Amino acid sequence: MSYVKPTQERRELLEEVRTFLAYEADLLDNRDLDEWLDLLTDDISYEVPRRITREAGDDVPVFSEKSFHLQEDIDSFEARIARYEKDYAWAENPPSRTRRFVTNVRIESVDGDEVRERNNMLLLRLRGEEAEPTFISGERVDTLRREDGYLKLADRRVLLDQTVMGTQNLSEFL
Amino acid sequence: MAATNLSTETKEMIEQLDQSLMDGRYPIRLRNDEAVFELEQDRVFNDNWVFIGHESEIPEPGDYARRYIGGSDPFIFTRDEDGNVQVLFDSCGHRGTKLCRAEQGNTSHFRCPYHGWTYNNKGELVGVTFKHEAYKEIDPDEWKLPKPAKVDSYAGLVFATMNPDSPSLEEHLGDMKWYIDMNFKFPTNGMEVYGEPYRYVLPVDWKQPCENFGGDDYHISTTHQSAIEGGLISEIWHWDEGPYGGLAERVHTHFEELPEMGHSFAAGMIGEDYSPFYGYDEEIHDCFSAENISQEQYDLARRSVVNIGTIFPNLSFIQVGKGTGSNDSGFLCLRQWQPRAPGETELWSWVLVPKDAPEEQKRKINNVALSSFTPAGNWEQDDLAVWDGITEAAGSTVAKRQGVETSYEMGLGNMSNTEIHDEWPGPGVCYNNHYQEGYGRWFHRRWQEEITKEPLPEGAE
Repeated sequence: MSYVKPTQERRELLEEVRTFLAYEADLLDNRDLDEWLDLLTDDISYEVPRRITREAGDDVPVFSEKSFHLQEDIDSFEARIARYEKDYAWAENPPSRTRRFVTNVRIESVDGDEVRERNNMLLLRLRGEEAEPTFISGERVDTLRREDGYLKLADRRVLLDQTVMGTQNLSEFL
Repeated sequence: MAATNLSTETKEMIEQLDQSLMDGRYPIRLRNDEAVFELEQDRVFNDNWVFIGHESEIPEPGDYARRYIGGSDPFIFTRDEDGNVQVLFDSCGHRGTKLCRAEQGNTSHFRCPYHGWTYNNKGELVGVTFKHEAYKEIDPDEWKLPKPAKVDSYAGLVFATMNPDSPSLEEHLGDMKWYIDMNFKFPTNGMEVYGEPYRYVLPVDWKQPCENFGGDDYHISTTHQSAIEGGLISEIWHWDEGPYGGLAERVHTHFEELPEMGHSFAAGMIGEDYSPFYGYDEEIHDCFSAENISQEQYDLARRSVVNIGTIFPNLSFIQVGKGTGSNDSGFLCLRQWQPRAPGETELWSWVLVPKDAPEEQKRKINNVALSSFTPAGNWEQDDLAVWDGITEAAGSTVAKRQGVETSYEMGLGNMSNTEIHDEWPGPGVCYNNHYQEGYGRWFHRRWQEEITKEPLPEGAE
């Protein structure tokens, strides 16, 4: 077993997926959340499960099937974003500065209009006078769907490396 | 290593705290001071009943979860092969290595990865590597895992104390049980933990969130304005038109005598004619009954929109109806504020659901809970942001040398319009609205009681 050599067609798709992810990260870093919402399909399923330290060989999954930092659909995203747009949303006023690094993009499969890909994400967050960022890292397992010629996010699971979160609150979409 | 010296200034603040609190003042230094933190570890957390976990987290023999007393003293919370709950110090008797290296799991034995000593889940040493060559005269009874002096549970909540002179758990909770019952026992078959606790490190002293959840309704209109305006609240809040943020009644209860001093409770309810039950869907109201509580408690739970409370020292609960934009429900969250360092706390947050609710309802309740009261939730995100600066101010030289104080005057004398609630059926000192900071004054008064039960160390220049 080895890596799969990309065909010309796959190379083009990979380039498009990378372009999508970079564009998405840019919107989130700039907190253009309404525009970010336009990148989601109406039936978006989005989960950030709680990771649990378990013994190797334990047959219970390390990613909780019940506990989630975020477990969202399009309506709950809209409600969260509407809240952030208010001046009194103290978690993001003054806004944090974030920088998302999205790398190691690999296409898993293509099925009709849907592309299943995984990527690594590192998010650095600075608030106020902090000199040292807090960070969140993990793998994102995405399904992108082509609608009207453009890719949109239809499904995302963010598999965090942290079990205990070092950020005092989580007011970012990952 | 010598203990950190208590400064003469801080020592004086502790000694005069009862007087300061009676005047509605609290010296902010006590929220970030190395010597105070060490005293709290010894005298508050090592000496009192503290929460370990909920029985439903370890339903089967062998189930275990790693837990902490005082934020960092490691214990294994487990159910032994006889079905009994055990709390065991997580450190091998040979060199001290930790035996439980996962947060949760199931095992009949804990085997040390260093030299292989093995313990059963009662904490008995049952295996010593190369015993006949290396340790042939060892007496396993001498090398059991240490246990707390007492372990007991109430309404599924398991507590432990390291102090053999602690009163019973029943006595420690005292009349606060009335409010615990109201929140945990109105479902006929009780509540159970759903999923695993969330853990977040917060740059704030543990006492701050304890008192916030003990009755600070004063912050809601400011801190949570965006969540309120954003409609991230259950529809039940709009069912009735009352004078208190849409509610017919808001009450605050605290206790001024031991053993309950330091516990507190607050509630918001709507009119007699409505049965919001905290916002739980009507289809699960048949899981609720007055079978395990009084009719008065049941009626209050029935009319409740929000209940919060703190059990001294560091366990809080909130049961409330919220909305997410796609779901609307009541939920119950338990939160433990674990001290990690001066001015630093680890939040442990559990979601509980009525045990008899159908799975689909449990999922919905859980979704609303995690969307509201975890640090990623629409409500708690802002709590954590507005506590910025408390640790910084408390740790300042100004706070120590000039003795900067913060106000706890609301509800004292004629300061606010609050009055004693004469008709309240529950125990404690109950006030008829939320313009009242007795929950905070008496929390800190109890803290002083614990910190000064032995003479304070000499202050340093």
